[in-house]
Amino acid sequence: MTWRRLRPGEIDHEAIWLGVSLCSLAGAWFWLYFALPIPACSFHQWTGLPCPTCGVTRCLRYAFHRDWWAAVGTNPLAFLGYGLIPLYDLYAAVVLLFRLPRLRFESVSTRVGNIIRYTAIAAIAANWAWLVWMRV
Amino acid sequence: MTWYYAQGDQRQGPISESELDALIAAGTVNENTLVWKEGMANWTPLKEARPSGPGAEVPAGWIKCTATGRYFPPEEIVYLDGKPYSAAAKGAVLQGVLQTGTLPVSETERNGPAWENRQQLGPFPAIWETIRGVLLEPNATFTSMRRHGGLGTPMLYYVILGWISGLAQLAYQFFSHTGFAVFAKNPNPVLQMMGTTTFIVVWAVLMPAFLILGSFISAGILHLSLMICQGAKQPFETTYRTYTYVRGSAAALLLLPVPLLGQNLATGWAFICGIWGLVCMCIGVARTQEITTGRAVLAVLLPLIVCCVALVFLGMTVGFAAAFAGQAGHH
Repeated sequence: MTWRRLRPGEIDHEAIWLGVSLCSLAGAWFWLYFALPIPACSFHQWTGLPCPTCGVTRCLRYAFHRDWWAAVGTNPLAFLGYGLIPLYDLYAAVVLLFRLPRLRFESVSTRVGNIIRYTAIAAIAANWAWLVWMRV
Repeated sequence: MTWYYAQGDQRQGPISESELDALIAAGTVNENTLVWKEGMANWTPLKEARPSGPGAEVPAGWIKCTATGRYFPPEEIVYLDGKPYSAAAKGAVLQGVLQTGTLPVSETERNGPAWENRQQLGPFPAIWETIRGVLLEPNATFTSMRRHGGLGTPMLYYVILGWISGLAQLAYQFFSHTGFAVFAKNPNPVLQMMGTTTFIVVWAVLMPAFLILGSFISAGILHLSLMICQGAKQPFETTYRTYTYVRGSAAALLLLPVPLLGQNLATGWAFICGIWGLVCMCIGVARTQEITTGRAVLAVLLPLIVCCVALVFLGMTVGFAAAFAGQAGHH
């Protein structure tokens, strides 16, 4: 993990993902505000069980209404993701505004990489189990 | 002669000339990697510090190694599949053959697809050649695709084809009076007031922005999936370039006037385009990331397995109708 300035020609991830997250937020608000149709979950229709991402829209809707407990219960992993996005946006806005060095993970060891990898898989599986158990 | 090279902020080395060649062949060092050796004033990109192209002084009779891009005396060259490789590339060649079944190609030989050379070819021939290459010869096209060079060029290709294809779908929806009933029934009075025509105009204008936004989200998910599958050997830039070239070309397939033959045929055609797009994506990811095809298939399908919403996004890419004909659902 290093803090360094961008090299000439290097992709500015902070600018890209800050833009993407803000546009996505605006799009999500627009979609929910105008009550545009949300595609049905094919997995739920076929099996009767929630898929690993069932509840992400309801979670966002609850979060917009500041009903935090309902949002967490609907999809904990999505809620965590929605919580991390503003933190990343704040970091990106600060480093862009003040032209600060950027956080980069240049060389992640195989061991650390595997820990992150398996943790992510376990988190997705645990979240899915929660959704099935809660009948989200 | 010993070299040092930059990996992030870390200085690596010293390494010998042959070790540097091996790192180039393995893809650890590329033409833009900053390198330094004694006598140099500053750290300089490899392509300037040690030029090996036509501008460099190359002894007569030396042969260019396909994997490293450098010139070697004939006795240090072996021919594999008709292409010259140096001894320094042995590790990369073996790894490439074992993992992907193909021989490695140097970054300097990666100069495709045709859209990357549109200044020379002209925009329309370049678009046509790129569509043809990606959809009909994906293996050769992605084996020679530039993995670096920014996001703008492939994004432009994707937006042009995606927008044209989207407008064609929109026109079909409008003239066949399908897909917009949801707005007439929408409880929101603003939408009802806007009317279908206004909405179509607004949507047509905003479509490029949605395409760009969608391309970053989808390519980001694909890259995360590659990281989970231990297949992200190249940076996000490479994944994004692969994604946009495949999706742009697959969108072009929808320009064929199949919807005019009927709704069922149109749905079937959209399904075929989606499946073929997935096949090209798997081949593209395997060739650009230099991973096994099986790992590439797993990485491409993982978002579809984990997130069935991605199936809907795929449907949105291949057919506008899929997104709007759906009923308010479970998500």
